[in-house]
Amino acid sequence: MSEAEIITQCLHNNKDAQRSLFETRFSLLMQMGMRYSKNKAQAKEIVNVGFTEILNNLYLFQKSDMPFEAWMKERFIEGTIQFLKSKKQEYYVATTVRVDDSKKTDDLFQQVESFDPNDINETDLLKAIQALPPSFRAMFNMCMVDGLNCKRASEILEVSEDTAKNHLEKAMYQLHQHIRNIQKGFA
Amino acid sequence: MSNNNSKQLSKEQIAKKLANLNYNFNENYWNEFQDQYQHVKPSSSKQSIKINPKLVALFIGLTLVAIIVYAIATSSSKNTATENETIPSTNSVSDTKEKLKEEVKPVVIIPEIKKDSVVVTPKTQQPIYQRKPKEAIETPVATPTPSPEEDNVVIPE
Repeated sequence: MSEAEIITQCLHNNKDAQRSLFETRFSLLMQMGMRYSKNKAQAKEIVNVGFTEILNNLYLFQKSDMPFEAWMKERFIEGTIQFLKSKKQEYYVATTVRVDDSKKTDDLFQQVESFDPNDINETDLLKAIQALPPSFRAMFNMCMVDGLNCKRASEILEVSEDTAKNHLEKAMYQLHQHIRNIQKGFA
Repeated sequence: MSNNNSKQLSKEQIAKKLANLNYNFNENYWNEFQDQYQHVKPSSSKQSIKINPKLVALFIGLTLVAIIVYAIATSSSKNTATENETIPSTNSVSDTKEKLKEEVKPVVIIPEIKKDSVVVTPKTQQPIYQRKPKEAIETPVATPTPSPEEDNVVIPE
């Protein structure tokens, strides 16, 4: 079955087609789920929520001009953000970046000890991403990995563009700190 | 957020590293999805009901207006009702005032003083110094000097 046929069959609630779509896109969805979640258990939940969002809104794809994968990713992200926001106690945590006043500069990255990015393996990088606070993690993933611009990401997160940029900067700072800690063996 | 700093991870590096992560499909995942999301209906038949915020605002506004109108109506009806009521004569008011005065007696609360709590401190007896008048001190008391005439006085035996 071609992709177009699978989509058409999914619209008619064909379970085999739905399963086929799930199977073919599983690796991508799980990869995204792992990035947006704090652990594998939550990633599974996110995949299920995200795929439901895709199936429920598949009729909208016929009206859009986007390629299927890009459209699917965006729907998945929207579903994921809604899911993360529903976990209010977890999502709205105090996210404070502590910088010593004596060392305070305009550039947060001057605080980070230098390291070679080539030394980091993908597992450590994923671990560092998962250690970020949910809102920072979501912002980082949308802008740095999934290729959304800051404006679109702020719309999905329902925050101002300035807040989104601020989140992204702090996320990058914390990510580098986490990587340093992982490399030093603290985490 | 620029990539000019060598110690920062670039977008490309992040994407490249994360793309290496692969997850194999397992039948369990599909079964789990089906178990949890059996309610998923075909999207074509789904009629999504989207709440229009303008309609919500209109509804809230109308409700508020209705509440205000109701409140005004009830208050005005109350006023008319009170106006119709007979006003008591001044005599009756003064009578009741007098009655109240009679009935209500002033209550004086006297604090209870425990005997134990009262500490009597004895007064120290201090000597009282009285200043003598100056004349009394300076002027010596005149002692009667026997006059020569008195010396000749023969005392009869």
